[in-house]
Amino acid sequence: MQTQLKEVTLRVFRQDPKREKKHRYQTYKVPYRRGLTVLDSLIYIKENLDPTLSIRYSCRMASCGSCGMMINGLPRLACFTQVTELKTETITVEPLRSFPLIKDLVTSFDDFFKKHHLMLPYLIRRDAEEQENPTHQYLQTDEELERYIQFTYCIRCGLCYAACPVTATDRNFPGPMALAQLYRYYADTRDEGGEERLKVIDNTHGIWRCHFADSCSQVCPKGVDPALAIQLLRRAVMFNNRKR
Amino acid sequence: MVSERTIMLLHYITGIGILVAGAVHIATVFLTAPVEANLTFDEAPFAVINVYRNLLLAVSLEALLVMVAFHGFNGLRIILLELYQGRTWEKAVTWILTVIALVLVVYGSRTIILAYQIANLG
Repeated sequence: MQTQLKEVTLRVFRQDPKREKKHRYQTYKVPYRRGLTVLDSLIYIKENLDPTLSIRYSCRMASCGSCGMMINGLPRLACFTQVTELKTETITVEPLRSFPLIKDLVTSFDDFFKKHHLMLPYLIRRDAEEQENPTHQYLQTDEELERYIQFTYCIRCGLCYAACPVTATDRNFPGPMALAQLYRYYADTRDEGGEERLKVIDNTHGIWRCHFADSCSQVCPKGVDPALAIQLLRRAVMFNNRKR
Repeated sequence: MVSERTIMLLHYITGIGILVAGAVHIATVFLTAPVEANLTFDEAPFAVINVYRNLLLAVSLEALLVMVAFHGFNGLRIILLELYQGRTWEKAVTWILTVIALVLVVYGSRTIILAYQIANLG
């Protein structure tokens, strides 16, 4: 029979880059209750043990993508990770890799969102008159929707960036999220930005730098497959074949 | 400037080409050169040179040289561009590696032509 878990030990990364040159790990003990997530544990620490701990979170239900962090060495959403599923006595919590550190477990997403914006993440239409005075709807078949629907589930949590070996070394690489979002619009039949979109990623640090490690798809909490989007984009750039 | 798409297309083509031409090269040298000569240190180079009496094989070796130079140095360029970023660095890496690859191809071609001439003219 399994021993009843009474408390959980968290080993938390601590550093304020403005004041400290080196990071350290601080250990906390959190009382266990059924369904306890890593985010619940961190909130408990902040409310009861150490108010100086910095964390970022919002929805607590894997919808907003704010609480991404390295949990036992893997990028995960803290709100979506129950402590029992980790099956370790001590849980190590660190900030997301490949992101500049702001404080403790909080990282800067400025560059991440800048790269997302570079991918033109919106529908591009040439029919200006129709846009001004709409006369009809832009209908799609189920099959057409199927081509990109999974990529719309992305919540921009940044876990794929933390897992990507190329993003870790090449700071100009757009990264899995941005490339998957570019494909999301490229594959949309309502979009007319085809050539314009492909030009954005056909460069020295663009689509070709992906090594297809597939780690981005492995860590995605929403089941999005950015590695697939990247391969489909590569085919599109290589043969310029927009499937309709 | 050549687009990255074209460079990568050539990179994939030369990758497959190296597999084919490399297999032909290895098979030719090991299967057509006299076994005794291959086993003798002094004779081996001449046996290999003799294989290139055939113009088609000499051309395939030249193709292999060009493909290996392009594929290898482009691979090295990609690694170096991923290691460090910056306009000056990228230009320097591209030009230096292009020059080294060209020197290698020119010197290798000279060797292949000489081997072909020796094999045919003695």
